[in-house]
Amino acid sequence: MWQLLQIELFKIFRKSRTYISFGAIGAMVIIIQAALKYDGRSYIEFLVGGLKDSLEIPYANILNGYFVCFIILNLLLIHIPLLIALVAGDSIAGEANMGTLRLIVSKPVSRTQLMLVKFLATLIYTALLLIWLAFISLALSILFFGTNDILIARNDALEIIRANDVMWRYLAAFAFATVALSTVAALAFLLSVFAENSIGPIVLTISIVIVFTLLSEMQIPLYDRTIKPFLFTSHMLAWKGFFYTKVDAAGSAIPGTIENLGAIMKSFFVLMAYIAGFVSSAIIIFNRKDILS
Amino acid sequence: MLRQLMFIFTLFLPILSLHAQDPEVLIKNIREKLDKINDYQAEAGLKTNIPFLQVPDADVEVFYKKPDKIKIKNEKGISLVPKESVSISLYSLVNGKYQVIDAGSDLLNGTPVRVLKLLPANENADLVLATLYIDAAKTLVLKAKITTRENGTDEVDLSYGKYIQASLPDKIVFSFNTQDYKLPKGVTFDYDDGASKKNETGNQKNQRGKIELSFHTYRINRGLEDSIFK
Amino acid sequence: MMPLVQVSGLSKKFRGNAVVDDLSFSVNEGDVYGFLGQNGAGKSTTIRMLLTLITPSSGNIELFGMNLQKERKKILKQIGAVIEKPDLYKYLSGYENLSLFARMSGIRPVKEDLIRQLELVGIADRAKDKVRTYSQGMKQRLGIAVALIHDPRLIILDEPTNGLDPQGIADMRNLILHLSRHLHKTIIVSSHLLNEIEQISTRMLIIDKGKKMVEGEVSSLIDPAKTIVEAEVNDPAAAAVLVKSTRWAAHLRSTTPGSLVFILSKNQVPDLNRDLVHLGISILSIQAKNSLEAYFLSLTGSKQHVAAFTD
Repeated sequence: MWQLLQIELFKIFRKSRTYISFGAIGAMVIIIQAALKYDGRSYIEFLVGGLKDSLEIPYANILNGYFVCFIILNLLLIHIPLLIALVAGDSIAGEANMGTLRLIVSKPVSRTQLMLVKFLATLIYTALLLIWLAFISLALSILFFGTNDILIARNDALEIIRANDVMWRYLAAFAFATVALSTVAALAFLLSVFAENSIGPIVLTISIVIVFTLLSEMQIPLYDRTIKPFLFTSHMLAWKGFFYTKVDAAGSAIPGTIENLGAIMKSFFVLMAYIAGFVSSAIIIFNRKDILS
Repeated sequence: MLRQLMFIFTLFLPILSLHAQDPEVLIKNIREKLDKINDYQAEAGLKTNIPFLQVPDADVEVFYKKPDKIKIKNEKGISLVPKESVSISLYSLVNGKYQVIDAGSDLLNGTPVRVLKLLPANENADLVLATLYIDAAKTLVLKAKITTRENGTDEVDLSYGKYIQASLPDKIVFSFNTQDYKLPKGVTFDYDDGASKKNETGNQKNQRGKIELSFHTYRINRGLEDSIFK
Repeated sequence: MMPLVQVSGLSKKFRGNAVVDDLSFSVNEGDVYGFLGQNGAGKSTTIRMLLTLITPSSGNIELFGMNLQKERKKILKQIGAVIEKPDLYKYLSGYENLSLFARMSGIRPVKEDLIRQLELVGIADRAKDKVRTYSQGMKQRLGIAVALIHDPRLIILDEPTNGLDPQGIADMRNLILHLSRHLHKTIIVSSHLLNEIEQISTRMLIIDKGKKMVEGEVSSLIDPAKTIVEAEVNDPAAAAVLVKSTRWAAHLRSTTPGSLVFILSKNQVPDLNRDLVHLGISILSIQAKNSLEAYFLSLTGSKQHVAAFTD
């Protein structure tokens, strides 16, 4: 198993498209950081909206590394599924397209094992991508912007979390984002089983993520209670839940708390169920599939 | 805007002490008391209870300088506090043309108080009415209600302890109407954790916000640079 | 001796179409087994079923005396294959490809083994180059190296000369003979070209539209003294049962949907004809073909020549 995993990782990391993702994330993060360094005030003004007339906004303090990292994650985690799909969608379909699938499937390795190893390798890629994202979005932002309390702009509230209460939230958020993006990986992986070139599963995965995200974000009451709870994209945003704090009876945020851990855990289990569903479907279908490529 | 006025105003309220029965005389005494404090710098705890702000308690420094400068600073982190207003000062309030009406006596949390109402002489002023609840025995203002055209009625409650001799409060609670805060969901991509039910509590327009300042220490008349208030 | 490969009643249907239809054959240890049929006859589908790439609709496959479904891993460890084009990881070097597939085959080769293998197929000097830069012939050689690296007992080569120039074709032929004679490997080679099979195979199977036409020793099949006789009959299955009880059983090569195919001397044809009539078999026609080639051509028609040139 370890031997096979090594082979899969070797194949992934010798492919140049693998590094497109790392490069793209690096470029996007640096672009956002540069923009905020140059004109972060405008962005903060936009976030606080009309409140800047009645509240004293300490712009310089707000524009710190933790805040910048949160903005980067907010902007990027929507787009990273594309980069995940790029590798996960290629997992089976790419081999079919290249003609190597028939060779590896006729080797003395069970198809189930082959699929598990391929998915595991995709997960490792996903995790590495997020570690890379964490490193440059958090470490570089802290380096360029320092640290301070973090201002979180929610749809209907502004939150402040103390600087010493932030790091564990980031660790939890990155861990959760790994699970969230693994769901995308699992979807692309499943679609990859059906195709004989990787464009199809990549495009289809992205289309599904976009449509689901739109449905998640559209505030249509009919959808809110019917399909929204079942869309994995709604749950993929749960990493933000780690940045929502509880409020005591006097209206003060309580440091070290999470507003609704139960909801995050529920999202976690929903995503895990999706991953398990996608991957086991992929394995079952692949086991029954005639390799004609 | 008038909320800020109120804010400044209330920082002076403690030193209004009313000895005489004549409301006009009481106001004159207030003016004289006000002159005794040129500036102060205080350490305080800040509690914010505004529906759209989820902010942890903070340690802040409060700076005041006569006639109308006020600044709240959070050196260690970020606090969102009501902005200072320089347009109207307490000086102009007590020096301005007001009709002072004696509204008799009342009980405030079991303490007997004199109630005075200030009406601006200028009918176009934003301030409509200011009501002061004064502990006549200790010559302390315990509560003020300020009604403006723009913001409705704001309230200030004051309690005294360590600095009662200087007529400076240990604790001030401001309560006021707040506006709404809303960002498009497409910008925030909020996670719906089921806990955000603020929108369902009805009328947004009439939410009350509260800010509570608990003063630990005051340093009075040490001389403060104007640059602090920039 | 137990056959190395024993296929019985093998069928594969794709959306109701039988691509392989009730196919039975056996390959003995040491055979170079020619698998002949025109393009689309079901050769590749059969080979893919032997390699578990395609699940049969029905039938049974045994290799090395084991059931393929039950002992898949054990069996596949002993097979090396080049299936159609020798596609490999283009972004990896030849050496890396070989090392990777060796490990997937369950062995842990040392560097010297890999280099030696690349030397055997004559591409050791390009070992470090990316496969992307290889010519078709070099890819074919690397494919062979991959098929051989784990020292399999059975080697399956699907259309190994496709896309090769005449020199490449000759090299491939020599390699197959080398593997068979000196390394004593059992080899299944598929092709749509009779002369290619003729030159290297010891036994052969001809299939058409998924059905077995002829199977036997190449030497006897192409014996100039023998001829292929195709008797068109009303009910070939019933007729075959009747024939099996007679001396003609040894000559009966196959039963096709409309006929029985025999191999015998031309002067035996009248006797055969008479005996069939005696058995009560209604004969629609009886034809003697001059040679295996003529027979194969009659199956495949003129397409054979076109295919030979376009490939």
